[in-house]
Amino acid sequence: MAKNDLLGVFEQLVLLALVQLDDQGYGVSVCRAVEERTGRKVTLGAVYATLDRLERKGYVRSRVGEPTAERGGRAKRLFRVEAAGLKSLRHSLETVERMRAGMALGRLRPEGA
Amino acid sequence: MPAPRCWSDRVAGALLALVTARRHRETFWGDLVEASALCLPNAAERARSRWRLRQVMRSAPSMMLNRMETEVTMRTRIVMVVALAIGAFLAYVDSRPTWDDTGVEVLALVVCSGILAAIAPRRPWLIALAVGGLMPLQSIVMRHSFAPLVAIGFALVGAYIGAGIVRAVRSLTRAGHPG
Repeated sequence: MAKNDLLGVFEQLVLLALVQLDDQGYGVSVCRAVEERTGRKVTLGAVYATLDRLERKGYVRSRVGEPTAERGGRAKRLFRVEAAGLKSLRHSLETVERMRAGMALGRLRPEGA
Repeated sequence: MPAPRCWSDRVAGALLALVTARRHRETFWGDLVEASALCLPNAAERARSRWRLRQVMRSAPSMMLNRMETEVTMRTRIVMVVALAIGAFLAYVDSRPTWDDTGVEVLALVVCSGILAAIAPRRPWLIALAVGGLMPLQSIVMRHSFAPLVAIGFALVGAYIGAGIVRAVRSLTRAGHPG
């Protein structure tokens, strides 16, 4: 796999959220899933930009859903992970796992812990 | 009948139109409406509207970068760099105390903006700002003079003439070759 196929951390988080949402993920749901799981504040803009980049790479595909009243009559753009996206996500997670394997993580613990 | 929108929604909408890629405008606004209702379930519509504006402002940098990645072609980027270089050169020439030929500057502004906008005709106003914006900027900073702001006007005229000619030629060419 080429060097550029390695995903960034946020790309991994967004792809994992989409997998968790069972291919029914859209801007708000991905944003909330990442916030709930990581405890980190995420802007919708960052999620959209990442989803767009992943779509350009061919890792996700989007379709426009039906407009709903709670969204002011606007439609959702639903995203699903493609096979290439799953492969790249697996590769990225395995790479981190290989780096971590056998490593004494004591030095990564906060001081005094 | 649609509900009356408050000023913060109007500002957010205008900012959104500027920074968001066309394909995401509708869905992004829908997401903001839904997210504001989820985050502020008991709040008044005005408070939700202000929350949406804050979200748009926070999202603006990443949305803008994304829009540039997806919508701005390499040709437009090169034209923008050239436009900024010409703008910087004209600002330098204008700042020289020995230079006093406004006619040549006006001609250069109109012609350069026109040619560059003809090469990349999608956003003539941006090219006009790049070519004609640095001259008034240095004048305001160095001499506290606002008079050179008129340079932007000349650059806009040139850019829109250049872009207009290219668009007219394109539409005539298309009309001549149906299908």
